[in-house]
Amino acid sequence: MKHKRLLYFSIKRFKSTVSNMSTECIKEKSQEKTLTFTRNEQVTHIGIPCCIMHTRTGCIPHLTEETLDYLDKKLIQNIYQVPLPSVIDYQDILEAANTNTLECLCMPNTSVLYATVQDFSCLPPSGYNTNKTVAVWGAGGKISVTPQSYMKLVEVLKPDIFQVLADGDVLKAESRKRIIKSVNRSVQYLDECIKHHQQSKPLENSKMICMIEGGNNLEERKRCMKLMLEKLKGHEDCVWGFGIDALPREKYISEGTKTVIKLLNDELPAGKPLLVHGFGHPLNIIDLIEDGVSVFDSTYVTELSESNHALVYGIPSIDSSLSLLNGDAKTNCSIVDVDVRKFVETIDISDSCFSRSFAPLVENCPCYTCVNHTRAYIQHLTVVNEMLAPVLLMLHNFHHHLTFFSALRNELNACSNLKSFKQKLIALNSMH
Amino acid sequence: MKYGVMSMDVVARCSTTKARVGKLSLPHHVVDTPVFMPVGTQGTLKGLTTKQLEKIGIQIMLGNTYHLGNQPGEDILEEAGGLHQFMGWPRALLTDSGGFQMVSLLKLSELSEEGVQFEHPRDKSIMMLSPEKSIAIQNAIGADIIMQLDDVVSSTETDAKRFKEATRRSVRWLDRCISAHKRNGDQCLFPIIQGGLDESLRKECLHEMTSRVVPGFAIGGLSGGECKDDFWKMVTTSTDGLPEDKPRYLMGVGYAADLIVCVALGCDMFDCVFPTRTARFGCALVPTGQISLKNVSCSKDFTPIQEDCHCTTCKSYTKAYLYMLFRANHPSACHMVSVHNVMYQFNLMRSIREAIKNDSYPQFIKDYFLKLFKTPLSYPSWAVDSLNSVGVRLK
Repeated sequence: MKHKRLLYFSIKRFKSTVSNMSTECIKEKSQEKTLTFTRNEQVTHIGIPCCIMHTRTGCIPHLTEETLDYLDKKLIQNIYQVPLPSVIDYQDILEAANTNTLECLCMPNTSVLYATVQDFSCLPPSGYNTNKTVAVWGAGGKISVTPQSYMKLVEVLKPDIFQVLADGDVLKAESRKRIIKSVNRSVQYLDECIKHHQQSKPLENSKMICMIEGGNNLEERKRCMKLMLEKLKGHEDCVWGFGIDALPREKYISEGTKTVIKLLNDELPAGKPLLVHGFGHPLNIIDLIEDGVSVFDSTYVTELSESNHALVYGIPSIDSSLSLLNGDAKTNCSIVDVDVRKFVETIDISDSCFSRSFAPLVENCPCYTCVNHTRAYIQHLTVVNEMLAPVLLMLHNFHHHLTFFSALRNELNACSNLKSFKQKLIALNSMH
Repeated sequence: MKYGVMSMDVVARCSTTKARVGKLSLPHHVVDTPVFMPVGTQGTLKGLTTKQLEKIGIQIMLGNTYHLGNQPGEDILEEAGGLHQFMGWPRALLTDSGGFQMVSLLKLSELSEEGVQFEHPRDKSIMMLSPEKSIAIQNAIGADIIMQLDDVVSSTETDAKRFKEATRRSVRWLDRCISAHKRNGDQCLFPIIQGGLDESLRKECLHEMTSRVVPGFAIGGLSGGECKDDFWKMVTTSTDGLPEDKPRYLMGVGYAADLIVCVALGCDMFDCVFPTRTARFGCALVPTGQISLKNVSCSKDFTPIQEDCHCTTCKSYTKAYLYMLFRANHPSACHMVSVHNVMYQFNLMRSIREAIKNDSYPQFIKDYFLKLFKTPLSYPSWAVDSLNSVGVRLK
């Protein structure tokens, strides 16, 4: 299913007040669970929760157009993320191309293009941002980007949506002082980006995603949001959504992180999707959706595949799971009781225990990798460090991850919350 | 000629040169010759899926016995039901004997009449690769065509005595390989013609090996950095001494000019890591030679690698885009250029077969050389001489 050409956006969802954007809230809006993009008067709907395809230089790591084509088209949401570090060295090429970015980066011309400041699958070394600049690592090393130079590059890219420059370099337990600084800088950058955007002809169809900083400090998150909303007054139309930047990289998101997200979700303006990067664990995705996040990315797939991991967890589907529910008393236990540490979502396929396993990664999985190859073969490829290993893992993990997102959308359409879905998921995948 | 599970039908011959077109029926696939076989050393061809290879049209590819014997190892391959099953490749496979890697990769190997003794790279144990062992591993791998273990000498070695010893030992080892071969029913064992750069020694080897009952022949001991004038003479001596009705596999040849000349000298099968190795370094093969996609001259070239190429890379990607991907070390860029280069070699061989069938091979050679070298002044003298020897006058 190919989407039609797009040029600018009209957001038609999240119309109601976002005072309590929980599962209940999604229920209220169950009729409008899509993001709508319009370009050249042609409209593309992208269902939420949505998974943005992570690329480097417009290319999904390890795949090509030919191998990407092995994926089920129905699963792919036609929205692609292009991180700045992967294109910053090629500004002159993009300009010389005399076409749009999609054509220059040999991407399908119907794609929605989303520009990000960093590549969330390989974050840069810490400690190089200044009051005036954000450090970005291109192929040739560090480049310090000011809001002005950043916006000039965005003008070259002409993405459908782009992140506002922000100082998100507070991932590790940083001091309060450093967090305050990151908020102050990011608000200042936002101010300059808005000014540039206002006067920019090339960006008249591009919308901003404001990155909310504040690290693990609730007060700073609040302050950042408040200051940013003040700066955005009168410019609401140029904002597409809000990103929650610099969330800690936890295997299971903590209560602290959840509090931050709930707070932001409660107070950010209605009609703008909330977005996070780098999350992919199925339980985290469900929790984040319940807390109001609707847009995710596929950096999880890239990271897993590049570290020899394959997704193997079972995905409950609406029709097949009922019998399972009835037959398994365990599903009646409350979610709070479940020890998430017993949840198995991946296997490390390089482990020698798979060297004689002539079964597919996941039994009955219809992806290219599982139809054609065994665990033993992929284990062999990882041992000898062959380039085909991440290719096959990307194909499987993508299929699995996007199938999970598709199941989430189906579930939300059918029953408007994820409570029973989550129970089934846990029951299916917990080691006893 | 039918030999067990294999048959070779010569379907066309060039009326000028020694070139021929054949159909080689192997247990897993029918292979059109002359054929270039891409090298999938460890049970995979550098990031390409088997589906991509089938789509390009590849009918046969190589695996390396030495590598596969180390990892995953003979027993796992056997349990998997052979390499075809293990790697998900339904078409034909060929394996080498492991002898070449023994000499090129292992400094501490020790050679005796029994075989090559070496230290295992992983567990440091001492292992003996004998003709029997090589065949046992190759039987486990289960390729359609397998190679005898030969005593490999670098073709730049100067000691004539060493060549004589190696050649005669290779004949003795061939007999041991033939006796050790347990799967005559579905695997074809090829001897490897040795003899270094000594014509009389090569003739002696040809005489010995052609007197054994074997389904085809490999021509070995060449493409190791020897002078090209010696190289082509040894190739033509070898093909002259080989039967017409069996396939001839010239090992380690993959450059376009070499392929064209050696087809004219009567060779049917070739292999080389060059097209995929050079792809990983950002070099794309084109009729005029090579394009280095890392070169800044490609950075603003928004055309495909080769306008008239039908590979998926040329259909979807520009040189400028590949330049960007290579600068950032994207693995996908290697896959893209590998697809093109494998397709390029495949198309080259197909055009060669077409030209032979139309009996226009001499003209094909002239056209291709002019495109590749731009002017007859740059034709390498060995190519001029060798083609002259089979009736094609380049100048």
